[in-house]
Amino acid sequence: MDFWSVVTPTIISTTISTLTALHTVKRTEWSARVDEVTKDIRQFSDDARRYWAAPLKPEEFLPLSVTIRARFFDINRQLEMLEAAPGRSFSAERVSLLWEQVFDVATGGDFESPNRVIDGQRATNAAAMADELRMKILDCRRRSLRWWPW
Amino acid sequence: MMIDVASDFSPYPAGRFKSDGPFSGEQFREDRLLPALRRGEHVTVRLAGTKGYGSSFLEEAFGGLVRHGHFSQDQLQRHLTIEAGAPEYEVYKRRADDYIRRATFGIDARERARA
Repeated sequence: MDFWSVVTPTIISTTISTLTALHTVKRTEWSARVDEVTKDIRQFSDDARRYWAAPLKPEEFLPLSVTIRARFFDINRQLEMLEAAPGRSFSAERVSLLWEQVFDVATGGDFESPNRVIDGQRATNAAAMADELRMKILDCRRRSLRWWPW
Repeated sequence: MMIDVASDFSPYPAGRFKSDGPFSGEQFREDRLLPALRRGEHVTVRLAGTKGYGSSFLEEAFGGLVRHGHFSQDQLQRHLTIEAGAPEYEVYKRRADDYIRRATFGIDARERARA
């Protein structure tokens, strides 16, 4: 048995297992990011629902409006990062339209006004759209994490 | 002419009407956008650098230009450019462009949203 007949299969199997391990780590990391963004969308939705539906005093709902805005900004960045992740088929394009509708509903009307009026319909719409968005993102992940291309 | 919202107006723009607070969409439109547009200059608004926007602010500032009859969509297309300034502000730019496109003279945006 010559040297190369032993070394070559070892090199090939080591390379394959290293690449597989790296790929798995990347998948896990990316998947964790998706979990994080969907959790943050849930928080955003809860805050928006509370802002529009709860009988809050101005000193309670005005800070909440700042939180909603900050969360939107943060989630937006997370979605950009997910889209930019190499080798993933997640596309913010697929979710951006719905995300923008959530933005319109959650921060529209007399948002940030000290004279805010409770708007149950807006609260319901924001929560329903945010839920739909979460489902869409999770669906993107499901399809993106497949090993097979179809 | 360039209007940088963060440095020329406020890093914390918020609210729709002047009665909502000091840096509302209405105030931005009346004090910054309209004077510049009325001078006939091409105005570029840069959105980056603030702590985000609410859609109430953006709709009132940009959609309000059409709703209140100051300019038509065609005029704004020629004289106003909204620039994100950073990738994370692209969503606000798209919304602002959309509010202009969808605005109708004389129709209150909040009433349309309720309908």
